[in-house]
Amino acid sequence: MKRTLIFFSVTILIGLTVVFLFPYYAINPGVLVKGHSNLRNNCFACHSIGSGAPTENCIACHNLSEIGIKTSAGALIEKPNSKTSQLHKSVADIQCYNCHTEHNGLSLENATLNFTHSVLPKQTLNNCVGCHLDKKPANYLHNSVSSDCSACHIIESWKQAEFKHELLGEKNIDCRNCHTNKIPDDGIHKGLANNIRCLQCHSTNAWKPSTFDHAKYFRFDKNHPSDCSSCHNLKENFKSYTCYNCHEHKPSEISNKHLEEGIKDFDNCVKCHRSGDEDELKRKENRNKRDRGDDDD
Amino acid sequence: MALKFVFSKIVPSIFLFISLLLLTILIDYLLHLSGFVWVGKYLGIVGTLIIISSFIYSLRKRKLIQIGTPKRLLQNHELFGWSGALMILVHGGIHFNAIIPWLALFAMIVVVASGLTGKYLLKEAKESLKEKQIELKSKNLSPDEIEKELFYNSLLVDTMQKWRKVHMPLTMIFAALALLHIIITLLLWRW
Repeated sequence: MKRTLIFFSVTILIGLTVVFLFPYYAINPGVLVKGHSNLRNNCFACHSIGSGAPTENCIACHNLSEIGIKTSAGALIEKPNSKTSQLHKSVADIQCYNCHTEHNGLSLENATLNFTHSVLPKQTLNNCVGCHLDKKPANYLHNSVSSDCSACHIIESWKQAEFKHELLGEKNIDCRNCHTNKIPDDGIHKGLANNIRCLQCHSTNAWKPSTFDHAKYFRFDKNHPSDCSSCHNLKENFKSYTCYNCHEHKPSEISNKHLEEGIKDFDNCVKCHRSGDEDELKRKENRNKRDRGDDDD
Repeated sequence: MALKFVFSKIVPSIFLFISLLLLTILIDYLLHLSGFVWVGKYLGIVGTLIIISSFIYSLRKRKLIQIGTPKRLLQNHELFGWSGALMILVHGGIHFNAIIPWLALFAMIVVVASGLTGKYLLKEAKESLKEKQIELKSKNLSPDEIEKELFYNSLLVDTMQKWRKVHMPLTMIFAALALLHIIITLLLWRW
Protein backbone atom coordinates (compact mmCIF):
# COMPACT_ATOMS: atom_id res chain seq x y z
CA MET A 1 0.00 0.00 0.00
CA LYS A 2 2.81 2.37 0.97
CA ARG A 3 4.62 1.56 -2.24
CA THR A 4 1.61 2.41 -4.39
CA LEU A 5 1.07 5.67 -2.50
CA ILE A 6 4.66 6.62 -3.18
CA PHE A 7 4.11 6.09 -6.91
CA PHE A 8 0.97 8.20 -6.74
CA SER A 9 2.63 11.05 -4.80
CA VAL A 10 5.76 11.13 -6.94
CA THR A 11 3.68 11.28 -10.12
CA ILE A 12 1.61 14.13 -8.70
CA LEU A 13 4.76 16.04 -7.74
CA ILE A 14 6.42 15.55 -11.13
CA GLY A 15 3.17 16.46 -12.88
CA LEU A 16 2.70 19.64 -10.88
CA THR A 17 6.30 20.65 -11.56
CA VAL A 18 5.76 20.24 -15.31
CA VAL A 19 2.49 22.21 -15.09
CA PHE A 20 4.13 25.14 -13.29
CA LEU A 21 7.28 25.18 -15.45
CA PHE A 22 5.66 24.63 -18.86
CA PRO A 23 1.94 25.34 -18.43
CA TYR A 24 1.25 25.75 -22.15
CA TYR A 25 2.78 22.44 -23.17
CA ALA A 26 1.46 20.66 -20.09
CA ILE A 27 -2.23 21.55 -20.14
CA ASN A 28 -3.32 23.55 -23.20
CA PRO A 29 -6.41 21.97 -24.75
CA GLY A 30 -5.42 23.08 -28.26
CA VAL A 31 -3.07 25.41 -30.12
CA LEU A 32 -3.65 29.00 -28.99
CA VAL A 33 -4.69 31.52 -31.66
CA LYS A 34 -1.78 33.49 -33.14
CA GLY A 35 -2.89 36.84 -31.73
CA HIS A 36 -2.69 35.50 -28.18
CA SER A 37 0.56 33.60 -28.55
CA ASN A 38 2.24 36.05 -26.15
CA LEU A 39 -0.10 34.76 -23.43
CA ARG A 40 0.79 31.11 -23.90
CA ASN A 41 2.24 30.61 -20.43
CA ASN A 42 -0.05 33.02 -18.66
CA CYS A 43 -3.30 31.05 -18.43
CA PHE A 44 -4.82 33.47 -15.93
CA ALA A 45 -4.54 36.38 -18.33
CA CYS A 46 -7.77 35.01 -19.80
CA HIS A 47 -8.94 32.30 -17.40
CA SER A 48 -10.47 32.71 -13.97
CA ILE A 49 -10.85 29.78 -11.62
CA GLY A 50 -14.14 27.99 -12.18
CA SER A 51 -15.45 30.34 -14.86
CA GLY A 52 -13.32 29.56 -17.91
CA ALA A 53 -12.42 32.68 -19.84
CA PRO A 54 -15.02 35.22 -18.68
CA THR A 55 -15.93 38.26 -20.78
CA GLU A 56 -14.51 40.65 -18.17
CA ASN A 57 -11.04 39.29 -18.88
CA CYS A 58 -11.48 39.74 -22.64
CA ILE A 59 -12.79 43.31 -22.52
CA ALA A 60 -10.02 44.26 -20.12
CA CYS A 61 -7.87 44.34 -23.30
CA HIS A 62 -10.42 44.42 -26.12
CA ASN A 63 -12.61 47.51 -25.91
CA LEU A 64 -15.91 46.41 -27.45
CA SER A 65 -16.57 49.71 -29.21
CA GLU A 66 -13.11 49.63 -30.81
CA ILE A 67 -13.16 46.08 -32.15
CA GLY A 68 -12.51 46.18 -35.88
CA ILE A 69 -11.26 49.76 -35.63
CA LYS A 70 -8.37 49.69 -33.17
CA THR A 71 -6.02 46.98 -31.93
CA SER A 72 -6.11 45.91 -28.28
CA ALA A 73 -3.07 48.17 -27.83
CA GLY A 74 -5.16 51.14 -29.03
CA ALA A 75 -3.48 51.61 -32.44
CA LEU A 76 -5.69 52.27 -35.46
CA ILE A 77 -6.16 49.27 -37.73
CA GLU A 78 -4.88 49.94 -41.25
CA LYS A 79 -8.04 48.55 -42.89
CA PRO A 80 -10.88 49.02 -40.39
CA ASN A 81 -13.63 46.42 -40.60
CA SER A 82 -16.92 48.21 -40.10
CA LYS A 83 -18.83 44.94 -40.32
CA THR A 84 -16.90 43.46 -37.37
CA SER A 85 -17.25 46.69 -35.47
CA GLN A 86 -21.01 46.88 -36.01
CA LEU A 87 -21.51 43.22 -35.17
CA HIS A 88 -19.65 43.47 -31.85
CA LYS A 89 -21.54 46.59 -30.85
CA SER A 90 -24.82 44.77 -31.43
CA VAL A 91 -23.82 41.83 -29.24
CA ALA A 92 -22.63 43.77 -26.22
CA ASP A 93 -24.89 41.76 -23.93
CA ILE A 94 -23.58 38.30 -24.74
CA GLN A 95 -20.45 36.49 -23.54
CA CYS A 96 -17.37 36.41 -25.76
CA TYR A 97 -17.02 32.63 -25.38
CA ASN A 98 -20.41 32.18 -27.07
CA CYS A 99 -18.58 32.80 -30.34
CA HIS A 100 -14.87 32.73 -29.64
CA THR A 101 -12.66 29.80 -28.78
CA GLU A 102 -8.98 30.62 -28.60
CA HIS A 103 -7.54 27.08 -28.38
CA ASN A 104 -8.58 25.98 -31.85
CA GLY A 105 -5.42 26.56 -33.85
CA LEU A 106 -3.37 29.55 -34.96
CA SER A 107 -5.87 30.84 -37.51
CA LEU A 108 -8.21 33.63 -36.42
CA GLU A 109 -10.97 32.09 -38.52
CA ASN A 110 -10.94 28.94 -36.37
CA ALA A 111 -11.28 31.11 -33.27
CA THR A 112 -14.82 32.08 -34.22
CA LEU A 113 -16.10 28.63 -35.10
CA ASN A 114 -18.33 28.69 -32.01
CA PHE A 115 -20.37 31.47 -33.57
CA THR A 116 -23.99 30.67 -34.24
CA HIS A 117 -26.64 33.12 -35.38
CA SER A 118 -28.74 32.22 -32.35
CA VAL A 119 -26.58 34.48 -30.16
CA LEU A 120 -27.52 37.57 -32.17
CA PRO A 121 -30.20 39.96 -30.95
CA LYS A 122 -33.37 39.92 -33.07
CA GLN A 123 -32.69 43.27 -34.70
CA THR A 124 -29.24 42.19 -35.91
CA LEU A 125 -30.51 38.75 -36.87
CA ASN A 126 -33.19 40.22 -39.13
CA ASN A 127 -30.72 42.47 -40.88
CA CYS A 128 -28.80 39.81 -42.82
CA VAL A 129 -27.28 42.28 -45.27
CA GLY A 130 -25.80 44.20 -42.35
CA CYS A 131 -23.10 41.52 -42.32
CA HIS A 132 -23.65 39.65 -45.58
CA LEU A 133 -23.95 42.67 -47.86
CA ASP A 134 -21.36 41.42 -50.31
CA LYS A 135 -23.03 37.99 -50.36
CA LYS A 136 -26.28 39.07 -52.05
CA PRO A 137 -26.14 37.70 -55.61
CA ALA A 138 -26.29 40.39 -58.28
CA ASN A 139 -28.86 38.75 -60.51
CA TYR A 140 -32.36 39.54 -61.74
CA LEU A 141 -34.09 37.43 -59.09
CA HIS A 142 -32.28 38.92 -56.09
CA ASN A 143 -32.63 42.43 -57.46
CA SER A 144 -36.39 41.90 -57.77
CA VAL A 145 -36.99 40.86 -54.16
CA SER A 146 -36.56 42.65 -50.85
CA SER A 147 -33.49 42.37 -48.64
CA ASP A 148 -35.32 40.09 -46.20
CA CYS A 149 -33.20 37.02 -46.95
CA SER A 150 -35.04 34.90 -44.40
CA ALA A 151 -38.15 35.00 -46.60
CA CYS A 152 -36.47 32.29 -48.69
CA HIS A 153 -33.21 31.27 -47.01
CA ILE A 154 -32.54 29.62 -43.67
CA ILE A 155 -29.70 30.54 -41.34
CA GLU A 156 -28.11 27.09 -41.44
CA SER A 157 -27.71 26.96 -45.19
CA TRP A 158 -27.90 29.47 -48.02
CA LYS A 159 -28.56 26.76 -50.59
CA GLN A 160 -31.58 25.25 -48.86
CA ALA A 161 -33.73 28.12 -50.07
CA GLU A 162 -37.45 27.93 -50.60
CA PHE A 163 -38.46 30.63 -53.04
CA LYS A 164 -42.05 31.80 -53.07
CA HIS A 165 -43.17 33.59 -56.23
CA GLU A 166 -45.51 35.75 -54.16
CA LEU A 167 -42.43 37.65 -53.04
CA LEU A 168 -42.23 39.16 -56.49
CA GLY A 169 -45.47 40.94 -55.70
CA GLU A 170 -47.81 42.16 -58.40
CA LYS A 171 -44.98 43.10 -60.71
CA ASN A 172 -45.47 42.10 -64.31
CA ILE A 173 -42.42 39.88 -64.32
CA ASP A 174 -41.53 37.78 -67.31
CA CYS A 175 -40.81 34.21 -66.14
CA ARG A 176 -38.10 33.93 -68.75
CA ASN A 177 -35.94 36.42 -66.84
CA CYS A 178 -35.16 33.69 -64.32
CA HIS A 179 -36.17 30.49 -66.08
CA THR A 180 -33.84 31.05 -68.98
CA ASN A 181 -33.76 28.26 -71.57
CA LYS A 182 -36.60 26.52 -69.77
CA ILE A 183 -39.12 27.03 -72.57
CA PRO A 184 -39.63 23.60 -74.15
CA ASP A 185 -38.52 23.27 -77.73
CA ASP A 186 -41.80 21.84 -78.97
CA GLY A 187 -44.60 22.91 -81.25
CA ILE A 188 -46.86 24.21 -78.51
CA HIS A 189 -44.28 26.56 -77.01
CA LYS A 190 -42.08 27.42 -79.95
CA GLY A 191 -44.71 29.26 -81.87
CA LEU A 192 -45.85 31.37 -78.96
CA ALA A 193 -45.38 35.09 -79.23
CA ASN A 194 -43.20 36.77 -76.62
CA ASN A 195 -46.16 38.57 -75.15
CA ILE A 196 -47.83 35.29 -74.20
CA ARG A 197 -47.11 34.75 -70.54
CA CYS A 198 -46.32 31.33 -69.09
CA LEU A 199 -48.88 31.96 -66.39
CA GLN A 200 -51.66 31.74 -68.93
CA CYS A 201 -51.23 27.97 -68.82
CA HIS A 202 -48.80 27.19 -66.00
CA SER A 203 -48.80 28.11 -62.33
CA THR A 204 -45.92 29.28 -60.13
CA ASN A 205 -46.36 26.19 -57.97
CA ALA A 206 -45.47 23.72 -60.69
CA TRP A 207 -44.85 23.52 -64.40
CA LYS A 208 -47.06 20.44 -64.61
CA PRO A 209 -49.97 20.11 -64.88
CA SER A 210 -50.54 23.07 -67.13
CA THR A 211 -53.95 24.61 -67.54
CA PHE A 212 -53.81 25.04 -71.31
CA ASP A 213 -57.41 24.82 -72.53
CA HIS A 214 -57.55 23.66 -76.13
CA ALA A 215 -61.38 24.02 -76.06
CA LYS A 216 -60.85 27.78 -76.09
CA TYR A 217 -59.64 27.31 -79.66
CA PHE A 218 -61.31 24.09 -80.71
CA ARG A 219 -63.25 21.45 -78.80
CA PHE A 220 -62.28 17.81 -79.33
CA ASP A 221 -64.87 15.11 -80.07
CA LYS A 222 -64.82 11.56 -81.41
CA ASN A 223 -64.46 12.79 -85.01
CA HIS A 224 -61.95 15.44 -83.98
CA PRO A 225 -59.50 13.62 -81.68
CA SER A 226 -56.80 15.24 -79.57
CA ASP A 227 -53.86 13.73 -81.44
CA CYS A 228 -51.99 16.83 -82.58
CA SER A 229 -51.01 15.62 -86.03
CA SER A 230 -54.62 15.38 -87.24
CA CYS A 231 -54.67 19.15 -87.66
CA HIS A 232 -51.14 20.46 -86.95
CA ASN A 233 -48.94 19.56 -89.88
CA LEU A 234 -46.05 21.69 -88.71
CA LYS A 235 -44.72 20.11 -85.53
CA GLU A 236 -42.53 23.09 -84.82
CA ASN A 237 -45.45 25.52 -84.87
CA PHE A 238 -48.77 24.56 -83.34
CA LYS A 239 -50.25 27.90 -84.24
CA SER A 240 -50.62 26.65 -87.75
CA TYR A 241 -53.28 24.06 -88.45
CA THR A 242 -55.46 22.82 -91.24
CA CYS A 243 -58.92 21.27 -91.45
CA TYR A 244 -58.26 19.88 -94.94
CA ASN A 245 -56.36 16.82 -93.71
CA CYS A 246 -59.71 15.11 -93.47
CA HIS A 247 -61.71 13.94 -96.52
CA GLU A 248 -64.86 15.46 -95.02
CA HIS A 249 -63.48 18.93 -95.59
CA LYS A 250 -62.62 19.40 -99.23
CA PRO A 251 -61.31 22.88 -100.10
CA SER A 252 -63.58 23.25 -103.14
CA GLU A 253 -66.73 22.30 -101.24
CA ILE A 254 -65.86 24.51 -98.29
CA SER A 255 -65.13 27.39 -100.63
CA ASN A 256 -68.44 27.01 -102.49
CA LYS A 257 -70.44 26.66 -99.32
CA HIS A 258 -68.99 29.81 -97.75
CA LEU A 259 -69.16 31.89 -100.91
CA GLU A 260 -72.84 30.93 -101.23
CA GLU A 261 -73.38 32.48 -97.83
CA GLY A 262 -71.37 35.52 -98.84
CA ILE A 263 -68.47 34.65 -96.59
CA LYS A 264 -65.20 35.46 -98.24
CA ASP A 265 -62.81 35.22 -95.28
CA PHE A 266 -62.85 31.54 -94.39
CA ASP A 267 -59.12 30.68 -94.14
CA ASN A 268 -59.11 30.59 -90.35
CA CYS A 269 -61.82 27.97 -89.71
CA VAL A 270 -61.67 28.00 -85.89
CA LYS A 271 -62.37 31.69 -85.83
CA CYS A 272 -66.03 30.70 -86.32
CA HIS A 273 -66.11 26.92 -85.87
CA ARG A 274 -65.00 26.10 -82.34
CA SER A 275 -66.03 22.45 -82.56
CA GLY A 276 -67.13 19.75 -84.99
CA ASP A 277 -70.77 20.59 -84.27
CA GLU A 278 -72.04 21.96 -87.56
CA ASP A 279 -75.09 23.58 -86.02
CA GLU A 280 -73.21 25.29 -83.25
CA LEU A 281 -72.47 28.34 -85.35
CA LYS A 282 -76.09 28.60 -86.48
CA ARG A 283 -77.38 28.35 -82.91
CA LYS A 284 -74.90 31.01 -81.86
CA GLU A 285 -75.96 33.35 -84.64
CA ASN A 286 -79.66 32.87 -83.80
CA ARG A 287 -78.99 33.57 -80.15
CA ASN A 288 -77.13 36.73 -81.03
CA LYS A 289 -79.99 37.87 -83.23
CA ARG A 290 -82.53 37.20 -80.45
CA ASP A 291 -80.38 39.15 -78.04
CA ARG A 292 -80.30 42.06 -80.47
CA GLY A 293 -84.11 41.78 -80.92
CA ASP A 294 -84.09 41.38 -84.74
CA ASP A 295 -85.63 37.90 -84.89
CA ASP A 296 -86.51 36.72 -88.42
CA ASP A 297 -90.13 35.90 -87.35
CA MET B 1 0.40 -27.58 -29.07
CA ALA B 2 2.17 -24.20 -29.21
CA LEU B 3 -0.47 -22.93 -31.62
CA LYS B 4 -3.26 -24.09 -29.31
CA PHE B 5 -1.59 -22.30 -26.42
CA VAL B 6 -1.34 -19.08 -28.41
CA PHE B 7 -4.97 -19.21 -29.54
CA SER B 8 -6.51 -20.22 -26.23
CA LYS B 9 -4.46 -18.04 -23.87
CA ILE B 10 -2.78 -15.11 -25.60
CA VAL B 11 -5.12 -14.26 -28.46
CA PRO B 12 -8.18 -13.36 -26.30
CA SER B 13 -6.20 -10.75 -24.36
CA ILE B 14 -4.55 -9.34 -27.47
CA PHE B 15 -7.93 -9.28 -29.21
CA LEU B 16 -9.48 -7.27 -26.36
CA PHE B 17 -6.58 -4.81 -26.46
CA ILE B 18 -6.56 -4.33 -30.24
CA SER B 19 -10.35 -4.11 -30.40
CA LEU B 20 -10.16 -1.33 -27.78
CA LEU B 21 -7.88 0.70 -30.05
CA LEU B 22 -9.80 -0.05 -33.24
CA LEU B 23 -13.17 0.72 -31.67
CA THR B 24 -11.78 4.04 -30.45
CA ILE B 25 -10.79 5.00 -33.99
CA LEU B 26 -14.15 3.86 -35.36
CA ILE B 27 -16.25 5.73 -32.78
CA ASP B 28 -14.11 8.85 -33.09
CA TYR B 29 -14.50 8.73 -36.87
CA LEU B 30 -18.27 8.25 -36.63
CA LEU B 31 -18.61 11.15 -34.17
CA HIS B 32 -16.70 13.42 -36.56
CA LEU B 33 -18.75 12.20 -39.49
CA SER B 34 -22.09 12.79 -37.78
CA GLY B 35 -21.13 16.15 -36.26
CA PHE B 36 -21.37 14.81 -32.71
CA VAL B 37 -17.76 15.52 -31.71
CA TRP B 38 -19.01 17.36 -28.62
CA VAL B 39 -20.13 13.99 -27.22
CA GLY B 40 -16.44 13.17 -26.69
CA LYS B 41 -16.17 15.83 -23.97
CA TYR B 42 -18.88 14.13 -21.90
CA LEU B 43 -17.56 10.63 -22.61
CA GLY B 44 -14.51 11.68 -20.54
CA ILE B 45 -16.73 12.26 -17.51
CA VAL B 46 -18.78 9.08 -18.02
CA GLY B 47 -15.65 6.99 -18.69
CA THR B 48 -13.99 8.28 -15.53
CA LEU B 49 -17.04 7.44 -13.43
CA ILE B 50 -17.17 3.94 -14.93
CA ILE B 51 -13.48 3.35 -14.20
CA ILE B 52 -13.94 4.62 -10.64
CA SER B 53 -16.85 2.19 -10.20
CA SER B 54 -14.60 -0.65 -11.38
CA PHE B 55 -12.46 -0.08 -8.25
CA ILE B 56 -15.26 -1.50 -6.07
CA TYR B 57 -13.49 -4.80 -6.70
CA SER B 58 -10.23 -3.42 -5.28
CA LEU B 59 -12.04 -2.21 -2.15
CA ARG B 60 -13.79 -5.58 -1.72
CA LYS B 61 -10.52 -7.43 -2.21
CA ARG B 62 -8.90 -5.40 0.56
CA LYS B 63 -11.99 -6.03 2.72
CA LEU B 64 -12.69 -2.30 2.94
CA ILE B 65 -16.27 -3.07 1.89
CA GLN B 66 -18.32 -6.27 2.13
CA ILE B 67 -20.78 -5.98 -0.76
CA GLY B 68 -20.86 -8.43 -3.70
CA THR B 69 -18.89 -11.55 -4.46
CA PRO B 70 -15.22 -11.14 -5.45
CA LYS B 71 -15.70 -13.28 -8.58
CA ARG B 72 -18.57 -11.14 -9.86
CA LEU B 73 -16.81 -7.93 -8.89
CA LEU B 74 -13.68 -9.04 -10.75
CA GLN B 75 -15.78 -9.57 -13.88
CA ASN B 76 -17.20 -6.07 -13.43
CA HIS B 77 -13.70 -4.72 -12.84
CA GLU B 78 -12.59 -6.12 -16.20
CA LEU B 79 -15.71 -4.99 -18.05
CA PHE B 80 -15.90 -1.50 -16.53
CA GLY B 81 -12.13 -1.01 -16.88
CA TRP B 82 -12.25 -1.86 -20.58
CA SER B 83 -15.41 0.10 -21.46
CA GLY B 84 -14.39 3.11 -19.34
CA ALA B 85 -11.03 3.11 -21.09
CA LEU B 86 -12.79 3.03 -24.46
CA MET B 87 -14.83 6.12 -23.58
CA ILE B 88 -11.79 8.00 -22.32
CA LEU B 89 -9.82 7.09 -25.45
CA VAL B 90 -12.66 8.52 -27.58
CA HIS B 91 -12.71 11.55 -25.27
CA GLY B 92 -8.99 12.08 -25.93
CA GLY B 93 -9.46 11.54 -29.65
CA ILE B 94 -6.43 11.48 -31.86
CA HIS B 95 -5.13 14.88 -30.80
CA PHE B 96 -1.74 15.66 -29.32
CA ASN B 97 -2.26 18.90 -27.45
CA ALA B 98 -0.98 18.76 -23.89
CA ILE B 99 1.49 16.57 -22.04
CA ILE B 100 -0.49 15.82 -18.85
CA PRO B 101 -3.69 14.48 -20.42
CA TRP B 102 -1.73 12.52 -22.99
CA LEU B 103 0.51 10.95 -20.36
CA ALA B 104 -2.66 10.08 -18.43
CA LEU B 105 -4.10 8.50 -21.55
CA PHE B 106 -0.90 6.59 -22.27
CA ALA B 107 -0.75 5.39 -18.63
CA MET B 108 -4.35 4.22 -18.95
CA ILE B 109 -3.51 2.20 -22.07
CA VAL B 110 -0.59 0.62 -20.21
CA VAL B 111 -2.86 -0.20 -17.24
CA VAL B 112 -5.39 -1.82 -19.57
CA ALA B 113 -2.58 -3.87 -21.16
CA SER B 114 -1.38 -4.81 -17.68
CA GLY B 115 -4.93 -5.74 -16.65
CA LEU B 116 -5.33 -7.97 -19.69
CA THR B 117 -1.98 -9.61 -18.84
CA GLY B 118 -3.31 -10.23 -15.31
CA LYS B 119 -6.46 -11.75 -16.79
CA TYR B 120 -4.30 -14.12 -18.82
CA LEU B 121 -2.04 -15.00 -15.86
CA LEU B 122 -5.04 -15.67 -13.63
CA LYS B 123 -6.55 -18.05 -16.15
CA GLU B 124 -3.23 -19.80 -16.67
CA ALA B 125 -2.54 -20.17 -12.93
CA LYS B 126 -6.06 -21.48 -12.24
CA GLU B 127 -5.64 -24.19 -14.85
CA SER B 128 -2.26 -25.22 -13.40
CA LEU B 129 -3.86 -25.42 -9.98
CA LYS B 130 -6.65 -27.63 -11.32
CA GLU B 131 -4.11 -29.97 -12.92
CA LYS B 132 -2.21 -30.15 -9.62
CA GLN B 133 -5.45 -30.95 -7.78
CA ILE B 134 -6.20 -33.84 -10.16
CA GLU B 135 -2.66 -35.11 -9.74
CA LEU B 136 -2.98 -35.08 -5.94
CA LYS B 137 -6.36 -36.80 -6.09
CA SER B 138 -4.85 -39.59 -8.16
CA LYS B 139 -2.35 -40.16 -5.33
CA ASN B 140 -5.34 -41.00 -3.11
CA LEU B 141 -4.73 -38.10 -0.70
CA SER B 142 -7.55 -36.98 1.57
CA PRO B 143 -9.31 -33.65 0.80
CA ASP B 144 -7.63 -32.04 3.81
CA GLU B 145 -4.23 -33.15 2.66
CA ILE B 146 -4.93 -31.93 -0.87
CA GLU B 147 -5.99 -28.52 0.42
CA LYS B 148 -2.91 -28.30 2.62
CA GLU B 149 -0.65 -29.25 -0.25
CA LEU B 150 -2.27 -26.76 -2.59
CA PHE B 151 -2.05 -24.00 0.02
CA TYR B 152 1.69 -24.40 0.31
CA ASN B 153 2.16 -24.71 -3.45
CA SER B 154 -0.23 -21.92 -4.30
CA LEU B 155 0.96 -20.94 -7.72
CA LEU B 156 -2.11 -18.78 -8.13
CA VAL B 157 -1.38 -16.58 -5.14
CA ASP B 158 2.31 -16.24 -6.01
CA THR B 159 1.73 -15.38 -9.63
CA MET B 160 -0.96 -12.83 -8.94
CA GLN B 161 1.01 -11.23 -6.13
CA LYS B 162 3.96 -10.71 -8.43
CA TRP B 163 1.71 -9.31 -11.14
CA ARG B 164 -0.04 -6.99 -8.68
CA LYS B 165 3.34 -5.45 -7.81
CA VAL B 166 3.42 -4.11 -11.35
CA HIS B 167 -0.29 -3.45 -11.92
CA MET B 168 -0.85 -1.36 -8.80
CA PRO B 169 1.98 1.19 -9.34
CA LEU B 170 0.93 1.56 -12.97
CA THR B 171 -2.65 2.18 -11.82
CA MET B 172 -1.43 4.76 -9.31
CA ILE B 173 0.57 6.61 -11.99
CA PHE B 174 -2.53 6.65 -14.20
CA ALA B 175 -4.74 7.78 -11.31
CA ALA B 176 -2.32 10.61 -10.40
CA LEU B 177 -2.07 11.91 -13.98
CA ALA B 178 -5.82 11.61 -14.51
CA LEU B 179 -6.46 13.44 -11.24
CA LEU B 180 -4.13 16.27 -12.31
CA HIS B 181 -5.94 16.55 -15.64
CA ILE B 182 -9.36 16.58 -13.94
CA ILE B 183 -8.37 19.18 -11.32
CA ILE B 184 -6.82 21.50 -13.92
CA THR B 185 -9.92 21.16 -16.10
CA LEU B 186 -12.20 21.82 -13.13
CA LEU B 187 -10.24 24.94 -12.32
CA LEU B 188 -9.87 26.46 -15.77
CA TRP B 189 -12.95 25.23 -17.60
CA ARG B 190 -16.23 27.10 -17.69
CA TRP B 191 -18.90 25.07 -15.81
